[in-house]
Amino acid sequence: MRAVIFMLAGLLIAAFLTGCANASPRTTRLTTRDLDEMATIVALNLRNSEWMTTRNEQSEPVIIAMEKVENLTDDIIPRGEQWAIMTKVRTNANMVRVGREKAITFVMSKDAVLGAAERGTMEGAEENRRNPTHEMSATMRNATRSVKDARTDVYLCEFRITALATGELKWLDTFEVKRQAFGLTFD
Amino acid sequence: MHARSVAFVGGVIGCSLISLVALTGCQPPRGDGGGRADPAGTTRAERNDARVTPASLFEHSDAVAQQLADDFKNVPQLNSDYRATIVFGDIKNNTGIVSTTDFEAFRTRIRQRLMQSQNVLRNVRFVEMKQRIDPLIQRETSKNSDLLQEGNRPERKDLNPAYTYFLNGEMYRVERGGGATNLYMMGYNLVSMETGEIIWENIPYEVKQVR
Repeated sequence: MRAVIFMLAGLLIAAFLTGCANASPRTTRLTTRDLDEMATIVALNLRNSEWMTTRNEQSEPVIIAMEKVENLTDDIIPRGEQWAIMTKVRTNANMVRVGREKAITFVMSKDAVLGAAERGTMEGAEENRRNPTHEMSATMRNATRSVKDARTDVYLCEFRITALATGELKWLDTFEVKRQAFGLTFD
Repeated sequence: MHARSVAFVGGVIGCSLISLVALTGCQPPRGDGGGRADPAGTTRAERNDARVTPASLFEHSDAVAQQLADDFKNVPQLNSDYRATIVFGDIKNNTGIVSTTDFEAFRTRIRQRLMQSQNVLRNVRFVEMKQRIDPLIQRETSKNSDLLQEGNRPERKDLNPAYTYFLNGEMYRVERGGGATNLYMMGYNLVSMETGEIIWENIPYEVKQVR
């Protein structure tokens, strides 16, 4: 009986420790969950912004061209991921509603247009009939603090919509998140 | 006797498992115990780093935004018939060890806080820096024009220097005891584009960090 208890205890501890280790984040990089949360919060904040509350379906149309995230962090964020972050924001349910209710439309990015023109997959793409009035872009920055086996990163992601004619910032929002991780002292 | 043997063998197996776990598990994997932290709090890494803590940068940016929002009514240049324009200016980083990018990140936070205030936006508009907006306008509105041709480059409408102010920052560090004590002094001011006059300055923010 005692043997069984011993064995069970050993197995339980093993399962507990390895399970915990696997569940813990091993890096300070932003997780996909952070990105989901960021997209939702940013889109919601835009929807509730003063600029949006003064607009309705009859307002002067705003045509927004998106640009990929500008990465000023220490992390390597691949080009695809930079676009993915912006797409997450654009396709968020709150953003879709903003588009419908506030006379806001998104147009293909210049990058996508040029790519399509190069591949010849979109007839007349090079004529550039998009005529955006505004640009939506984002910049990600981080502040890293570290000591021996510990590291902390504060990420500040700024999203903004800029009027192309004047350079005036029509809307701006920042998403902040702090992540920490611990490693081995001899790392 | 048989039961004792079984107990002994079981015990040995159990102990072996525990030892195995202890040997492999006592070296925590990277990131163990990490994850999200409170942005306003201070982590072990931040406490032991000589650079200014993000918590101080958060506090400072909040304080600057709050003070500027409060002071708007008292600055004549920002209370005229026109909407003044604020553009990001220079950050004079004299800390030696803190990256200017850190300060830039928190400066955007000041702007974001200010843009949430209707009182501020009634009197002021924020405009992107020329070096960022001009390539953007050029890219989005160039159509099929030859960009190398003179006069074919659209630009941001010129800002009126009389109504434009730069948000500049100044960051200093005084270090003592071989880096054990660091005093940080951080400040922002608004400078007229036309005259260079400092029309507003925040109450100096100082924080002393002892490691």
